[in-house]
Amino acid sequence: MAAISEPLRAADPNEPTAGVTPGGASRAVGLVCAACGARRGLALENACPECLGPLTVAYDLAAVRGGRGGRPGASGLARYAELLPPVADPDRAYALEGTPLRDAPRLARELGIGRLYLKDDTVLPTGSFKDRPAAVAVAQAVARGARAIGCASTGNLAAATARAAAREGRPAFVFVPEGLPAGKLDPVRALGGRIVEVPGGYDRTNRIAALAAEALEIAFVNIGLRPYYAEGSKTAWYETLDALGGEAPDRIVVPLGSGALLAATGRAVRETAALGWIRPGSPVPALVGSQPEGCDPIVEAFRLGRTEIRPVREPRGVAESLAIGDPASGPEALRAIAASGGTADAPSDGEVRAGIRDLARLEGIWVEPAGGTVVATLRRLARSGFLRPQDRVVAHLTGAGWKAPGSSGPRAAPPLRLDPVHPDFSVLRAELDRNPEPPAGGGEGPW
Amino acid sequence: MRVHLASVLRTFAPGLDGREFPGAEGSVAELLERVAAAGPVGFRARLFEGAALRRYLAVYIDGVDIRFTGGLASRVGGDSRVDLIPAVAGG
Repeated sequence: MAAISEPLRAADPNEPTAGVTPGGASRAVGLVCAACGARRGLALENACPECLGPLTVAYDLAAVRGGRGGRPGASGLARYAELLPPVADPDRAYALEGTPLRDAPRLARELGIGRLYLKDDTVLPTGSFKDRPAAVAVAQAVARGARAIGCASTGNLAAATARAAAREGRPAFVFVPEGLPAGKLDPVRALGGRIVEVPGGYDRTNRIAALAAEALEIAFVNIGLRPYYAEGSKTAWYETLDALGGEAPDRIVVPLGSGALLAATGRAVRETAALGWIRPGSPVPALVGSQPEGCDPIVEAFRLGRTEIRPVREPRGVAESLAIGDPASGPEALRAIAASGGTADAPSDGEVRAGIRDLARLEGIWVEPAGGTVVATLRRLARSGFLRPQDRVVAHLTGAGWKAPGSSGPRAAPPLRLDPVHPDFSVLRAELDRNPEPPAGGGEGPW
Repeated sequence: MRVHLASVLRTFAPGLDGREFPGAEGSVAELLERVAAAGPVGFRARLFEGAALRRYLAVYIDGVDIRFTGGLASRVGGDSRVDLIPAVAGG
């Protein structure tokens, strides 16, 4: 039988690796199986031929030259090109600006958390964190000569893929479950993506996309390119650590769909610890996964102490972007949570909706239900004591509210109606007087 | 029963992809043992770990994951489509 493992090779920027154009700044040296540890070259593979386990990119960390802020003179994701897959021109290929880490004192005070920071990926070009992995995967697809780009998406990746493909002048075919809201599909149309609907939920869409990837010359970012795609999500942690001056938080709360974001965060934390980017004396952050109770296979496995994920056949609930019944990175996410001393939590739809409203009311940020799920978990874990009054906590806001309008629930107040000729302001007066936090003295007025 | 292999498996048994396995209805385990026997030496280890299915191998019978229908004991027969796909993609 042919040898199926290849030794790791140091990334030589002057020598193409497995069909990839020269690696620019990347220190990637190969792929490694997360399940059995088999090592591969930087090939176009998503599963280990030895055991069929998931492959991830390995780096020569000793060769990394940049400090915590990444490559001097670079911006956005390109700052971290040393820890991303190889591309010839990272400054162009990884030209996606980073996002703010927002202090959230009002929400922290309400929840009883010492210090709360929100990694606000709602401001990315298509309104979700998926712009990160899509940018990295499409760069890889182009470097390998792909003529068309594809993805299987619960909605957010669809727009991110269409955007990244448009920038490279490639057609995008986005496979989605039937019936997604306009907030998910309108951006795809505007960006020129071709929507391919599959009846049934995301897991069926994903299977059909996997078959399409075998049959068609389409580079699916989260199927054939998945080892490279997943690397893009690490950049949120690099930016977070830089914004905190190298002082790692005590807890990082991440929404769980496929588990890929949490798994990538875990890898990024390990990398930055090994690189010395985390200040000595900083805590080792505990990773917290948050998954809605209508689709919580990773949380259930964590609670029951299982290493195997039992898929959910019919995901339900308001958080459609997390409705992945068979999470591909579930086992890796589970291992990352356990290894960090973290935990996993599954709030109800009601709590998720309340989380959306709490965040909007207290911090002025409108998120889709994945963000509400995270805020609900913050509340639940502050109540349980897992989040302590002295803790510094980072929470990931992965999608903007406009992507899933109507998610904040029926408890949102209906509009007031005024007569256009004889307006009666008494009802407005009553609402004003119910304001629990009137400014001292009432301000200057009349306004 | 027609069996379709993902490319990572096809590499080891290129002639098996899309092959028809005629016969009476039986268990998925029985069908996969026939598939393994039709492949080259060592191919069984790509599908099984001992008597169990490989952890990262997903098996679909007419589009339904066998983990929802009884695993390797699930029944399969007739003109069913059987897909063998690594469970490492998506999301």
